[in-house]
Amino acid sequence: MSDTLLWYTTRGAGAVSLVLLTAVIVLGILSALRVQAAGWPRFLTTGLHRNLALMTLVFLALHIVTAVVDPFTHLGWLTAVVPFSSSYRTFWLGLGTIAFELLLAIVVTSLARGYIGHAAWRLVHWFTYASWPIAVIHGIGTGTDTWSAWLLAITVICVVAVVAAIGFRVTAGSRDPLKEPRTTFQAAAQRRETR
Amino acid sequence: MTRLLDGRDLALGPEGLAEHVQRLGPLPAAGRSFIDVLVRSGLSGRGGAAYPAGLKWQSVAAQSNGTAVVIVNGAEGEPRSLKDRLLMTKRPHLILDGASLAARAVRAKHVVLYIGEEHHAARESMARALAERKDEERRLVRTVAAPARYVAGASSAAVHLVDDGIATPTTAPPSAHERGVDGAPTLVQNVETLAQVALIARTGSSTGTLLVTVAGGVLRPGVLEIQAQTTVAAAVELAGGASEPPDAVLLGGYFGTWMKAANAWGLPLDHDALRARGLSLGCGVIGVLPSSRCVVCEVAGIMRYLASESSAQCGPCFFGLRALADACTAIAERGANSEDLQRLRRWSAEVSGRGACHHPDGAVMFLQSALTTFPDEFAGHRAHLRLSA
Amino acid sequence: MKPNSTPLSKVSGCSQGRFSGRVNTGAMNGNTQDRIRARDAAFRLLNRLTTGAAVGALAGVGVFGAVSASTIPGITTTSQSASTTTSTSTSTGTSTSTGLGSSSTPVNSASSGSGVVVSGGT
Repeated sequence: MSDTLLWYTTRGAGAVSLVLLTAVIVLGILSALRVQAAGWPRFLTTGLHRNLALMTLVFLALHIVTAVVDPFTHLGWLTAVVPFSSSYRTFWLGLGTIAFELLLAIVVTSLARGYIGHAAWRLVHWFTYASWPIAVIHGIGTGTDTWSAWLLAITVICVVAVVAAIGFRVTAGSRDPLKEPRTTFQAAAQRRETR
Repeated sequence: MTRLLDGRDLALGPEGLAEHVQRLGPLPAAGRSFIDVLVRSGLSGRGGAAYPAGLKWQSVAAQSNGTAVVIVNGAEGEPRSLKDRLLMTKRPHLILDGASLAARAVRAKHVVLYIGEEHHAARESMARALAERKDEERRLVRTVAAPARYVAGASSAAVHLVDDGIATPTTAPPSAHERGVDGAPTLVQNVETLAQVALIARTGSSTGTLLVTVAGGVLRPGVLEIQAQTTVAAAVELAGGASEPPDAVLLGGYFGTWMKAANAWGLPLDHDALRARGLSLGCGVIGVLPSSRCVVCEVAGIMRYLASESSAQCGPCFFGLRALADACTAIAERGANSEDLQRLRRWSAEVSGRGACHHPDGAVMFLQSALTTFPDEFAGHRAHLRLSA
Repeated sequence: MKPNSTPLSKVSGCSQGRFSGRVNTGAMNGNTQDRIRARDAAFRLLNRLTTGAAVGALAGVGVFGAVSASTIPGITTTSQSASTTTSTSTSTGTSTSTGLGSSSTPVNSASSGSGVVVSGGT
């Protein structure tokens, strides 16, 4: 395989990973807001969120592997797991390692949620709000293409999407399709003290 | 050897305090040191989880500094279970003895009797028995009505009801023994467990028996006190034998396991023995399904019930269980087609592990056990005229 | 020792033979069918969206890879006629043209002075 091909693949897969991760976060926020419409039940949002999260890991793996395997990068496999251990662009690459590991932790704890319990899962899931911006900064700092129009446009769109989703979450209350059945249950399940 | 149901004829009313003391002697004055006796006895809880009672008391006592709360769980949310009601109606003082011992052992400030709001006989019996007790015991006790909902019998629901007024179950920590009612360490114990405790305090060991409810196609359905390790077949015989040859047995109530009757007969009724086989006795309901009734239709009906009993805290349970119940009902009422089983599998996977409490998982496991034990019945089900129940 | 053989069912008032308790009889209606159809459709939509995303992502690697190649191509060591590397000196100021590992020589390279531009890395 041509070395340049590896390099293009790394860059292409990096961009795709960023887009996928952005979609994952936006879907996660929409999940928390319990957004739904006719023909789009809530489990569709959470299901897509989960599927795209796994997909992100796949393309991230492609991004990392092609970068490490590329003979010209002189990156060892260690740089993929130990942050700030590369001699090349130590800081910015290290950020990428961190973002990757945060994402890995989130996915692994999600798969093992039955074993670790709901609270632990939830705690680790908050890392997502760290993982994404770190990934964006990694892309800006490490990338060859940062100022290329195409990646600039992608980065801007992703940032706008996440900022808008967070803004939406903060301002809009979550709609609650369960409000009525929950109220019914609570009315039936109330305390009636005898003595 | 003593049994829980020894003494006064069960056809008569509750056993009063005088008779109780005459038969068993006065309640030993035991404090925190009793917990060691309880641990040595190896008594496991009778509420369904079979967690060692002694260990539970140890955890609560360790956290308590006089602030603990004891919840006497007589809610019996499982519809076909009758054992807790029976104990409350016939042997209330065994339960109150156990509660008193618990309160002293964990140094509780309050004791709450959690009894089903519709279980009038039990409530009356416990109230009368409580009135006979010593002042120093009665002072700590209050009675709270458990709502008539399936989930209300769960420990976390009991704690929530007593604490903030609504019987909502959860799995979220903290657990009751750390922070329960009013943030105090809370001991939630089933009434049968406490009845055993009352006897352990006098004899040093449990009775070696347990209470089961035999329900469904038997001649004398109801509660039995059986020796541990008694087989399912023997229990069914004691309940009068099957009214007609059964196809299926449901062991452990609506969150339990389905079995072909032939495989169930030899099973020993004992928590540890069953757990070793990957089964659970749960709250001790043995449901015998006669061959004249259809497994698929029963499963559909129970799934509809479990779906309707959702506390609507989360989407996977409320919408997911409803969807599973819909799919089961479709199979039951119009017959199965090639997509139905796949649909059940796919939709079950979407629900498992995603609930705010264990209710959806219990229902899914119930359905899975039916599907794995009776795949042909599901796959080949055809609509049939159902007898009005 | 025989257990107490009173027919407890009489005492506690449970009905004989009924297995599943309260709910039953003819529960299937139009609503149920609609809900099943809707959920099936939603699952199919989920599958289509996931597949679409996977295909789109693979295509994206190709497209973005190609775009990145045309904007900043890498040149192998054998080629002397290096095309201009648009300077990608970012605020970090690390070198583009002298290869890897060195973060010490900030070079503003309009053209590959040394005649050798190594691909990969930056």
